Amino acid sequence: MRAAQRVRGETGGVVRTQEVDDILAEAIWFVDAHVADSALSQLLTEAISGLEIQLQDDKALLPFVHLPLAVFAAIRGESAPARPLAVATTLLFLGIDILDDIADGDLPPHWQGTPESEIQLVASTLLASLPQLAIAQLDVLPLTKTRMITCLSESLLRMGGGQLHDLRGAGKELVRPEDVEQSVEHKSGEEGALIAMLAAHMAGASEETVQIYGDFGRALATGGQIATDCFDLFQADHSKDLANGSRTLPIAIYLSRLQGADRAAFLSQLDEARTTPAMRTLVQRELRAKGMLRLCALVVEMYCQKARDALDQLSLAGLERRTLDYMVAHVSFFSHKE
Amino acid sequence: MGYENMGRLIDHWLNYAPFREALRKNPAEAIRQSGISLSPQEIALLGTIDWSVSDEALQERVSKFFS
Repeated sequence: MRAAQRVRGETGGVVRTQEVDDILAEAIWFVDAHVADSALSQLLTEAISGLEIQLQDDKALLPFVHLPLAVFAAIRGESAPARPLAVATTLLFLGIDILDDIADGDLPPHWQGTPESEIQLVASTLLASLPQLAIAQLDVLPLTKTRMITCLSESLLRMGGGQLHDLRGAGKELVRPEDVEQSVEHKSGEEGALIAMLAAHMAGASEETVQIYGDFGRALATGGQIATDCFDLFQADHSKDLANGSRTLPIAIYLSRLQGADRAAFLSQLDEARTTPAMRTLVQRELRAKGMLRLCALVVEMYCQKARDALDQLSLAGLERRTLDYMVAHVSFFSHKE
Repeated sequence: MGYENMGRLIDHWLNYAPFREALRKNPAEAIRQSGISLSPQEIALLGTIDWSVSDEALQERVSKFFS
């Protein structure tokens, strides 16, 4: 059962798949309207279309689309004015995603035949030009735009630091679970914080309220990334992380609890799992049998609680609160006692 | 989160049926009796969770947030 189904009876407010289709279409329009060079425009359009293919039936809740709309609506009571911001955050997400895929050697099939140098150019354009241009064109006060651009630049610097630590840690057999968690916070968490803070800035929130929404976005996205890593390991038909040799949180925790020959044997299994599907299944079974899914569910829950604590500080009510609660419930593995 | 002690909690959960039962009824008391040292925040969090969810159900509830 999908999380979106299990919170049936509650409402997701702006969390609708139609929003995703519309924002992706508006992103293509934005590129078409602003990128003069036809070859670059074509590559950028291919990138957005590729994202659409990647998402396919998985548009239940996408933070880069739904989070800015939901935060803006929580403050202003409507989401429509934030649609151009959702275009900016979608372009930003896509740039970060492409750079991640390049670093992991895991580019999706639609890039086949495109030189990596051109794909890097697409990613840097998505990160360093288009979101700034989209923010510059928002119908907000000049001071608000300045705050948003500053917020974007500061977050990108923090994410860059997180990514650098990630790159330097890649290929290591052993990583501390605390370091993995921190890396997720610095990358995905910072991205969630940025998206929420941009929306709060745009809605005209005070600096204190912007920071609270940042805390909410950071907790939600950190928990969400750990949940996504668990999905890859325990639910996906093909675990990309096992194939890539990535040390995501469930693996890092389990390795930290093993010693001596047991650790060496599991490391050997992880190595074999990169190329042997049968070994992947064995590794998944062992991690599940040793409680790593439940332990990671508790870690995710801790972040969900941080997100709820942030919302409690905002005195939200009605649909606005229910929409943001819906996002937390989507990430959580547990149902909750009242 | 303290991974070592949370790991001990999961070991208890996996290996001792009476602990599982006790955790479902009164998480704070079950943790106190187990001797596992957790922070007040961690104990409070564990008290809000529905511990009757099986591992199989938990796995079915894993969903993607970032695609």
